[in-house]
This record gives sequence, structure tokens and C-alpha cells, in this order.
Amino acid sequence: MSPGVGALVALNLGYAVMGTVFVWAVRGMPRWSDVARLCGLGYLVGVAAFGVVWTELLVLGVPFGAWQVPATLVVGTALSAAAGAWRGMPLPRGMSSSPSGTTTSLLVTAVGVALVGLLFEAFFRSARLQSVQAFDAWAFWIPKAKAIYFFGGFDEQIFTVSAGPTYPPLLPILDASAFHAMGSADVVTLHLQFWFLVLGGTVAVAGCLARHVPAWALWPSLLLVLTVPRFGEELMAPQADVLVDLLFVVGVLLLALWLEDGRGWRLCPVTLLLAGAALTKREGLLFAGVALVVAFVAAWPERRRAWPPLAAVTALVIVAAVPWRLWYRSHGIGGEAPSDVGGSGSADRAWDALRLSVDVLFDSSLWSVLPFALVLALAIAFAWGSRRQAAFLGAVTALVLLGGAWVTYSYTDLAVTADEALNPIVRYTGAIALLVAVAMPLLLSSATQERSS
Amino acid sequence: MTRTAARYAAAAIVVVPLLGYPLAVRADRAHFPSDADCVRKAAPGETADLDLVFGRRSTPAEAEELLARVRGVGYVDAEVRPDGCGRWKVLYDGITSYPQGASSAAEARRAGLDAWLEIQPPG
Repeated sequence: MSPGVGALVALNLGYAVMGTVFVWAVRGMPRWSDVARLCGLGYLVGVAAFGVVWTELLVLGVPFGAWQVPATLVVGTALSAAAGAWRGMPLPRGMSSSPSGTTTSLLVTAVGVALVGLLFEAFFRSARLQSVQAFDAWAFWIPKAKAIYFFGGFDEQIFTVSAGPTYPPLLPILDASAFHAMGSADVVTLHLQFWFLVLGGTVAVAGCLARHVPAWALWPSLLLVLTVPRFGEELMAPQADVLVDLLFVVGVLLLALWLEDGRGWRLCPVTLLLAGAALTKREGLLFAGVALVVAFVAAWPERRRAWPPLAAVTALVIVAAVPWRLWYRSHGIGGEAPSDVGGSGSADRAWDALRLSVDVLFDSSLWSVLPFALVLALAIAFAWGSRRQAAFLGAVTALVLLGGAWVTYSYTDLAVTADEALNPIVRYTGAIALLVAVAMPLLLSSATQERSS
Repeated sequence: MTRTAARYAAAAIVVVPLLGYPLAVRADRAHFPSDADCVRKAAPGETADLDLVFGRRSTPAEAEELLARVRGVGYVDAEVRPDGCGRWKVLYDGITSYPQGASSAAEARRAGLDAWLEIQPPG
């Protein structure tokens, strides 16, 4: 293993440990099997927490250097451990004492793990020595990361002059951390950082769903999502699209589970994941808003109990998202909202934008059968399963779809086309495609009444 | 099937393909990307654009050390560049033809440097 790869392994292990200790502190993990199941969620939480904290610190002018990366991970882990100890959380002991599920589900899980594992082995092969090809990656994501790495902060020139000046800095911060870990701005090996992000997101989805849906619903859905044509091309591109989608989708999954069981700990990682999404891409703010607004509406029957913590989550996400927006505004950069919010746009453009969003979503050369499977799963759940969950996931999907149409409609400099050089709608729609990975198992299992808890 | 047998079977289902796949691919001589992929040594008479390369290192600091040595010998226009495969190479890009490059490489070797000609990467 080359030193750069080893360093990336250590860095990502650091994210996973910090986030998993946080999840332990808020939830408790009585068994090591719980740690194994939730380490993917912990990893994503660790990534989001690291990125959110350093976004705020860089806005304040705190320099970002080589020793700050491990120091942040150590301090974050120690604080979470102290919080867990203060709350009296017991340390994990032993593996699960009562094996859950049938022999069939165990074997289906094994086949699923093997197939997903094989896929990630293949992804590793393709990610190991990739050059930077994606336009946005070399135009501004990586230059911004290099600026943080070489100059220790938001270099005013690069952050104000390069393309996408309002794009949030969480991903460049993660890239700069990877550069520090590797000891150089190695943009080739950097692709492996994105392999880790996708792996962590996949383990997070599988781990969060494992005790809520049967194996036959979980693993085929995950495999279907990971193997659609579009992801085969773009999953490891060093851009923020997949990361923002993963943070959003796992946040939505936890909200869906919270609406079902009301377990308050779920809202702690939701806060970090949605704050991370809001600081990863501009549409991350839209995604976070959609998830929270729909959660508020879905929680209407229990509003006395559910709304106060949801309001706290919303407030914290806003508090996390604001400083970066203040930073770029204070540097003379216009807002990220469109200059024309759509008031003067024509009805024709609105219709064309909506049609474009729908056409892109149902383009089987991009997403295979995913959208059709989602529609079918929603229909089945409405008919025979949890209507509340179907309404929640369906509303999130519909609003994200409409959000994409609004982006095309209101940013009048965007052409109404799926050409990625002219309109980001294809990348944007990836959020809905990834959402299928969590929606389909939840909806199908609700219809067959096989959820174990 | 007993629970224990099912667990062994599950472990085998996971482990066998995960280990077997890379081994099978290797046995099939499918190429795994390696940092040697960015080394394209020039054959005698090569007419493409050429670089005189003095070596590759894993970190910029190590490459800078080699660069100092190369410049000390007299290649003052030599420089460090990423090689596209995660390493850093020390090179001189003022080669105009294979014979001139071969002569420079021989001269560098006489001065104690390990030097060879490579085809310039695209772009």
C-alpha cells in the first residue's frame, strides 16, 4: 500500500471513530454488533461534523494546517466520549446475544454484502488512479481545496474569483484534510477519498435500515441504486454532488424512522447531516429545507411532542449554514439565490423546466428503472403499507423534483436542457435516485408487514 | 440448516467472492492500475515530445531533494511535477529530439544521476 493510501485509510478511520463515538453518546450501543451496524452512520456524521466545524472556524479566520486535522478528530472524539460517559452510556459488550432474523435473511444479507463488496472492489480499481476529468472539479472544487491546503484558509482571491464563489466549502475542507494526510496535493489518490465517502454512505444506509426492513428488500435496492448507469460514471468524481446526496438521503432516512418510532437520538445525527448538506452544496440548503418542512407536516398529529425538537434541529442547521453566507457576502459576492426568483419568468419556461426535471428523472439511460421502482413502491405502500411513510417519502421526492424545476426556471442563465455543460439538472436529480435506496426498502417492507421493529 | 451452519455459510458467501474476485482477476492477467502506468519510457528513435526524467518520489519534499541534486549537477531548468499516478517526478522538458535526449541522459548518468527519456504525457 502506498503511503498516500495508508494515510487516507487512517484519516477516514478517524472520521468513523469520531462520528461513531458521537452516535454512541447520543444513542448508546450495548453490543459491538450495534457498533458494526452503525459505524457507517458514524462515519458520515464524523465527516459532516468535521466539515461543519472547520467551515465555521475558517470563517472566523482560524488557520487550517496539518496538525489541526488529527487534533480536531481527537478533540471531537474526546468530547463525544465525555458526553457519553456523563450521560451514563454503557460501553459495548459482546456481540448480539439473540440472533435476529431467519436463516434465510442471514443468507440473503451475506449475498448482499458479498455483491456490494465486489462492487466496491471494482470501484476501487477504477478510483485508484483516476485523473481529474470533471469540469467543476478542476475549475473550482480542487483549486479551492488547494487554497485551503497551501494557504491555511479561505484565500480571498481564489474563493472570490474562481467559478462558483457561493458554493459552500465543506468538500474543499475534506479534500484539504486528505492532502494534509497524504502529505501533498495529490489529486490522483484523492479519488480514493470519494470511494471512502460512497462506501461510508452505503454502510450507513444498510446499517440504519438493517433492523427495520427485511434483507430481501434492503440489498436488492442498494445494489440497484449503486449499479445504475449514471453512478457507474460519476460516483467517484471529486465533486460535491454525491456527498450532498448521501448526507441528505441518510438524514431523510433517520427522519422517516423518527416519525415512526419517535426516538429522539435520531435528531442529533440528522442535525449534523443536514447542516453538512447545507454546507456542501447550494442545493443542500434546499434539500435540508425540504426534509425539515415535510417532517414538520408529517409530525402534525404529534406536534406538541415532535415540533419543539424539530424546531431545534431547524435552528441549528440555520445557525450552521449562516456564517459561510455572511463570509461571501462580506467579500462582495452576490447571494446564491437566483437574481430573478421567477417572478418575471414565463409560464412556458416554468412548464419546460418542469418537463425537463421529469424527463431527466425518468431517463432510463441515467437511472435505469429506479424512478419507476420508486413510483411502484409508493403506490404499493399507499395501498397496503404505511401511508404516513409513503406520504413523507413521496412528498420529499416531489418537492426535490419541483426544486430542480424551480432551479432551471429561476436561474434564467441556465438553458432548458439536460446538457451538463449548460444545466446541472442531471447531477441534481442524483439526490432522488439515491433516495430510492432508502425509500424502496422502507415502503416495500411496510407493505408486507415484515419489519421487525 | 442449524444456526451455526448458517453462520458459517454466510461467512463463506461473503469471504470467498471478496477474496476470489481479485485473485481471479489477477490470474486472468487483467491489469490493476499501478503507479508504473505513468512511466512511458521512450524507445530509440521515438519522435513524440520527450522529457528527461531523473526519478520519481512519493512526496514533494523527497522530490525537491532530488531536484536540488539534479540542479547541482547543472540541470538548472529541471523541475518537479506530479506524474499523474500519485508520485512526483523530477524532469527537464527542454528535449528537442531523441538523439539529443539520449546524449543528455548519458551525460547525466556519467554525473551519477539515474536519468532516462520518457514520452511526455498528453496535455
